[in-house]
Amino acid sequence: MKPGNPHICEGANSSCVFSSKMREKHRSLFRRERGCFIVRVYISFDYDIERGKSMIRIQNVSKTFTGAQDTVHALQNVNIHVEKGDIFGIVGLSGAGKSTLVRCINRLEEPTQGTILVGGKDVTKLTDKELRTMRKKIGMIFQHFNLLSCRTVAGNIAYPMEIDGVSSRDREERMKELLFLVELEDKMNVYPAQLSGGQKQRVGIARALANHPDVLLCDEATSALDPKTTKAILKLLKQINEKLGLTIVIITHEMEVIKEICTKVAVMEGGEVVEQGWVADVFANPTHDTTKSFVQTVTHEVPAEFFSHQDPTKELLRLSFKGSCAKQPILSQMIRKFDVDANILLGGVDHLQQMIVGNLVVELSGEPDKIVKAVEFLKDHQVQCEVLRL
Amino acid sequence: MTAENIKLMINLLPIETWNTIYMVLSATLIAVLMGLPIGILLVISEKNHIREMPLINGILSFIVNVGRSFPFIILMIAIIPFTRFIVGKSLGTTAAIVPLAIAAAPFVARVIETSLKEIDKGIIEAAVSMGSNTWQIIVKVLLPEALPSIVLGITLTIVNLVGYSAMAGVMGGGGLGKVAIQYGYQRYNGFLMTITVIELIILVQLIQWIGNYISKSINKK
Ligand SMILES: Nc1ncnc2c1ncn2[C@@H]1O[C@H](COP(=O)(O)OP(=O)(O)O)[C@@H](O)[C@H]1O
Ligand SMILES: [Mg+2]
Repeated sequence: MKPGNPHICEGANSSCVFSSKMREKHRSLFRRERGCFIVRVYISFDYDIERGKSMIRIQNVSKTFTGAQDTVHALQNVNIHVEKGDIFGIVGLSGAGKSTLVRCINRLEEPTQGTILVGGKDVTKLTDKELRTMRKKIGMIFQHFNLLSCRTVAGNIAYPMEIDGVSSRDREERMKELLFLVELEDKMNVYPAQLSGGQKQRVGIARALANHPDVLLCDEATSALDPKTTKAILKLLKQINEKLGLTIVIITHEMEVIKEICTKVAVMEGGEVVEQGWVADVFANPTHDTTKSFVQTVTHEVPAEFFSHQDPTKELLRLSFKGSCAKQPILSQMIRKFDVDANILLGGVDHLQQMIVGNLVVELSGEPDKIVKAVEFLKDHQVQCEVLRL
Repeated sequence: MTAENIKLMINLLPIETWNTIYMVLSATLIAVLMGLPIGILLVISEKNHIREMPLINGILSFIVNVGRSFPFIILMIAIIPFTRFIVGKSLGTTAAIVPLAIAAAPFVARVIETSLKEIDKGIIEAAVSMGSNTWQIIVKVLLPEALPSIVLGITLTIVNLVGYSAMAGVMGGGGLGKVAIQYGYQRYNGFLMTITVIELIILVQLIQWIGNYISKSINKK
């Protein structure tokens, strides 16, 4: 065993490694060959082996509403792939077609064209009975909660179990779990009219989860709530996603929601998906104009007057960086190396769950050719540079 | 206010009040049994509802409109053969129930239809999204959600039937209508006429009050 030449000298399943039964042979090896380190590597597979499997695959889906006078192309050739365990956000302005898209998934809306696979099954080809069975495995929550006003909290949560033929004893048991999960144990016998918006949505969530769904669809689920309640509901959804490994699709017109909990995002406009990908990528490097304006609603923006006085010895740049390069002093290295001045006009670092995304607007001043080289340097270090001009 | 009048009142009013109540409640019951399914069908067969069936909706709506456009007195006479077929005679209190029920059924159907249409579309959609079938939506969502409003509609039906039942007096039916016609109109007995009117007012008030109370106590909105 040579130093600087790593190799695996022992492999075991996680439980064995965790029980720290490092063989005596390796202990002695460690003692003899000083300078060699035996590093235990934990690779845990027990979190969710299914994660990453395809959950929802929307392929070439179009939807046209044909009215008496006009036809609306609400969806045009939409392709989206949601994997198991994702919190997939769909963001867009009002009328972009988000609701239509999500309603096609459980066929509250019939797509005009295309296929939608949920858990490998094409939902567009199901019979009525199969469709009802599948809907029991797709939970849905709504902007206006849509609770039965004549039933108590318990009655509302029991509804999906009743129609699924769950025995009253099993219902009781599940009810307790769900009320605990959404923290409404004390509201069990209260009618929806006596609940706050946040509490109503918690009932909606409990009801949607009652039959152990594979997917949870949320159509503007926080849009009728105040910011604080929104955060609490999003936190609950995140917690459900982590605890139960539940796949969640979130429709929203607020980028804040995407930033808060989504792992992936699709941006919609005029019935089309104009951009999609990992949230961190989209935040760091939005390409479509709509996406840019959405990202700017939650990051930092330059006031227009910065653009007005242009000077040939100055260059206005937007720098975006993510992950590891957000932690390196690239900007100060650049200043020293190329003898340019950097004036930070605006900036901020956003933490999207585990990922760090930075956004800076800087004004570089110095000799033009040095500025060009400085920009090259930044690009070499995985910093996205965009020259801002009027 | 003569002693004879008092005696008449005591002899007539309790039994004829009972006859009115008997006719009205029986007719209401039958009308609800007929109107309820029609009302439900009218709603769910509508465009964009849970069982869109334009043809059935059109036919039912037409039948209901025809039924509602008959003046009661004409309907009562027109269906005499049918009444005789059902009850065995065309005169009397029990016989009056048939035209009353048939007159009220289309009304009930519209009342139910209106009540069911008031339900928030989102609630129905949520039930659909959970995988409910049509029957479950009708029984567990539509009817319970609309119940307070349906109770008010049926109260309205009962009040209307009290009015119609008075007309049944023309055809030899019993009830307060008979008292008014026989004593008030044919014998010019102003006293008994007044008493009958007062009693009808009280009866209608009472029905409305009970209906409102029930509707309010089951409304959880
Ligand atoms: N039932 C419908 N009939 C006709 N047009 C509709 C219907 N539902 C939605 N639309 C139209 O489809 C487009 C997309 O609507 P929607 O999916 O609700 O957008 P979003 O949820 O993004 O606000 C809009 O132009 C809307 O007017
Ligand atoms: Mg919408």
